[in-house]
Amino acid sequence: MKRLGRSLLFSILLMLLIPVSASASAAVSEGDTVSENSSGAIRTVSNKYRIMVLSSYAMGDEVSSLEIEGLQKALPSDKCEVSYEFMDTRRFSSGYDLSVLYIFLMKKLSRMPEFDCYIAVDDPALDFLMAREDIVGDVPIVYFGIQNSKIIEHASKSSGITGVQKNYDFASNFDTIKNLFPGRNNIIFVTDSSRAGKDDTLSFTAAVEADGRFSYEILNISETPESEVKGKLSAAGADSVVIIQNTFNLNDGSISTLGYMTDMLMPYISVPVFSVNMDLTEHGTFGGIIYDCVASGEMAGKMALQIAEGADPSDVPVVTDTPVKAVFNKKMMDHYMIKASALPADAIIVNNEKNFWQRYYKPIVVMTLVISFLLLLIALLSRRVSSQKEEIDSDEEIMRIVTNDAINFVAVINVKDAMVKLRSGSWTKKGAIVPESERTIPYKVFIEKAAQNIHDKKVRERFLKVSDLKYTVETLKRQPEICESMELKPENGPIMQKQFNLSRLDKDVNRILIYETDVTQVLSAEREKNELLRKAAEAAERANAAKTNFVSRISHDIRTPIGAILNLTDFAKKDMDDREALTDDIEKIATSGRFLLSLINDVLDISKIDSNNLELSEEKYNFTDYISEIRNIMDPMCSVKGLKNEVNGTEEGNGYVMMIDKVRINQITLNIISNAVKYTPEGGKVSYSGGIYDVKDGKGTLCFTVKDDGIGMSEEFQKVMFDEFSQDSDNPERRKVTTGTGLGLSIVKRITELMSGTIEVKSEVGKGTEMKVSIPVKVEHTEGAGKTETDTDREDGKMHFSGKVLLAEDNLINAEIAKRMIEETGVSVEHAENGAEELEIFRKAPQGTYIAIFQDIQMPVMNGYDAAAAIREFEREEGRDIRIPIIAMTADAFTDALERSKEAGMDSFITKPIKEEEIKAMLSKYTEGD
Amino acid sequence: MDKQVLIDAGFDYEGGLSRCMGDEALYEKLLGMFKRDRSFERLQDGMARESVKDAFEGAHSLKGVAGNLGMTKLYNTDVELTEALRGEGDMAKAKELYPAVIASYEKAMEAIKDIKEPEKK
Repeated sequence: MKRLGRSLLFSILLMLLIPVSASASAAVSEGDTVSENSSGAIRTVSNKYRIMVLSSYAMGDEVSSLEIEGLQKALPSDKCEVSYEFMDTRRFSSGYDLSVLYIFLMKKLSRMPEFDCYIAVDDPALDFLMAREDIVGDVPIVYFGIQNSKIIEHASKSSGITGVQKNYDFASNFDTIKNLFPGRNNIIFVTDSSRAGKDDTLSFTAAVEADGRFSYEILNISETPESEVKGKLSAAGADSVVIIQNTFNLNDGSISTLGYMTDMLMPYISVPVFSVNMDLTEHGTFGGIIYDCVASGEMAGKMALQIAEGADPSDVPVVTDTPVKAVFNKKMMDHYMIKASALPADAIIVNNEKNFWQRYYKPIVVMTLVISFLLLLIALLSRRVSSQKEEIDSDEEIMRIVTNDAINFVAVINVKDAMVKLRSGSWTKKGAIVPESERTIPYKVFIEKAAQNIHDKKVRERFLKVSDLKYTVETLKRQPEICESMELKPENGPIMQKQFNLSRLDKDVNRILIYETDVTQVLSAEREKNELLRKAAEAAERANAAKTNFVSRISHDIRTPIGAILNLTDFAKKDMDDREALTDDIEKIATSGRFLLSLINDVLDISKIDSNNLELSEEKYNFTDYISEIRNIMDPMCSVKGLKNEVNGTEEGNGYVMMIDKVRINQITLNIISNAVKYTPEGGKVSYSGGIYDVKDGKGTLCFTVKDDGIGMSEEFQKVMFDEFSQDSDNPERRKVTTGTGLGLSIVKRITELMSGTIEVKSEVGKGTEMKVSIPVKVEHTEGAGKTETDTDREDGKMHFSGKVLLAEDNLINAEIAKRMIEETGVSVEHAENGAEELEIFRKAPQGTYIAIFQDIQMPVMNGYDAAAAIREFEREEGRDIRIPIIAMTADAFTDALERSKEAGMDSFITKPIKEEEIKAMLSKYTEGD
Repeated sequence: MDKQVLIDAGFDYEGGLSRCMGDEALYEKLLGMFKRDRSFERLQDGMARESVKDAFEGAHSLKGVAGNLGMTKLYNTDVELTEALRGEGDMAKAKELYPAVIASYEKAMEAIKDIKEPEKK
């Protein structure tokens, strides 16, 4: 389609550029009857006269066109059928060319039906017709525009030829010159070496010599260099006039026209310019008595019609009195101050110097059309080129779009040339498969290089097979994408898992996009996940197993005492009569019962803790009370077993009230103590020491240690001591001791951890055990009526503060009010009148003097922003750990003001006019020790 | 000070007094101090020289003081003027609003004319 468009355009272009030489062929029209005449030419009979106009020059020739215009006036189309031939003889410089034309023309004319009359325009045409009598036959000829005397003479010899002579009226022009410009006696006659030029030169010379009043100069532009021509013309002075006659054949061999040359030469001429053969006033000439070619043509046309209608040519005489017209240019007349009255009566005065546009519009239009067509052509061509370029670009585009972090390699395969264009970059992170300089490589090479990285032989073979281009293309015709995953190992790199995607970029699979994604990480991530899942599953298994184990243990431990109780009740029945034995039995039942109860309690505890159902309820527990509780238990426990006991080191805790779960802390403490007692043989010692340490801001640590010099624990056991039912089988002493539930320590650990506490154990077999427990607690002082460390007092609902603030405010009225408000809360005020003062006071004061700064923003000397920034800078320099709160007092609650405040280092703001509540709110926010 | 005079002049007497923590003596003192407050002067000067910046500072400051002292009328007229002068400012508009501020300032001054200026510290 594009090709068609292009050639179409080209042909149009061609047609425009090539000068059109019209050749009108005679058409056979309807209603004509066809017959042959004597000379063999086909004759048609129609109501119209057939006239052939043979013009010597080209259709667009200046003079010819006017002549033909005249002709057409005389030859109405209802009567005549006029044909034209343009010989365009001006382009011929040699006779040889002319003879070629003759032959061509002859052939053409001979094929045409006979004419009623020929009209020969200008010399060469008549020449031709007279030379070819065989063609012309006896068809009459009417000529016009002929001035060559020889031809005229020759023509007059023939009876079938008549016409209108073209005799230039030099004489009238000489008269005119004399009348209008009496002082000018010299004529410069501009002519050329064309046939007409030669003839005209002769005519002129004859005429001017006959006139006798003028000197003259012949300026032949065909034989004179252009510069000289211009020079001579410029030199023409007040004594001269110029006659421009012929300017067709230029010195450089080119052909021009009268009009064009006149335009060219006029700027160099400052004397009146006449023309005799053609009206050149529109080119700026003065004018003249000029050959009227239109009138001549008309005359000739009339004569031709007469003859066609049947008149004998000899009855139509040759016109020797050539029609002329007197034409003068108004502008030039004014320039030379010639009045119209001085001119001949019938003179035509024209004011028609064509402006640039009028003169040049024709060539301009043609040029424009030509240029537009050329541009169109270029546009079409470049579109084709750019669409090719588009193809290239879009390869790049695609590769760019497709590339992202995960994709390491992109390329486009051009199937037709079996070439692969790679995106610049590397194949793997470790090394480049292809250096950037070789971006487009043959497909085979590409595949080979890729295959090198596959370390598994089988996979490599498969790869080479599957990567056959034809095979790939076939596959891609059926499906849009191919996806392959394989393991690669480049030479210096680790094994990686890569996924290759091949996508077809168009339906016919002319281009294939190939890109590689690294899935190594993805895979390893999956593996890791699987590993974690597996571990979790295992852990769950173990926990489950442990639970099952636990339950079976518990059921055993529960059944034992129940069994014992039932047995003992049997015994008791039997021992009814034995009071001692009965008492013993009952005692034992009680013991078992107690054991059972404690076991069940323990199990419930553990189960609650494990299922996160155990809630700690904190309450106030006076430390002193706690210690007395310990004593109450330890004393009987130890004395029963014959152990010494000691409670000491409790000074640290006195005076404190703990917020703690009473029941549980007691439980833990008791459990540890009872273990110590249990595993210490008679004569040993158990001691408790504990207190509350590191109290700060209402928080402290409850820390106690229980020491015994009992059997101790082996290293092995210490590792598992907190596990359920763990027994120290490695300790020989252990077997002698009665076992408890086996859950005690595990409960202790759980509860301690629930309280965010820790247990530490030190023990040596045979030497004893030390167990230390630390639990963070909230504490209060017991002195007074519950006073805390904060400065707020909420007794009467009012807020009271203490301390000192720094107030920076330049307006005295505002300062007074603010001061009063702040003082009302109990805080004292130091007043600074501007930011600079504020800064100075702050720097001089020791840290902590002021609890806050209230400052205005708009202040003279230094404003609030700058002061705040300076204060922060100072704090940084001083390495102060506490930032003083800076609160802005502003009338502008606009967001940018707030942002600026924050940036400058201020903490908050209150709006003006300030209110008491806001002052209090700020004070309580920033001075509560948070 | 005559409470009625102030109320008649449109002052928010209760508001002003509450800001002084109910201290009448303080309120009176502050009203007296208003007589030598320079905010209005700065506004005046700024408007005369057509300096948006200076006029704004004066108006802004005056606004704060008037608000604190319960000078409602002066406060309200001044608020508008202050906004017209904010940022780039529209001096033409400010000039339109200025007469109202002058009028309410004069009225306020009239209302406190019998109050003594406190001695300077």
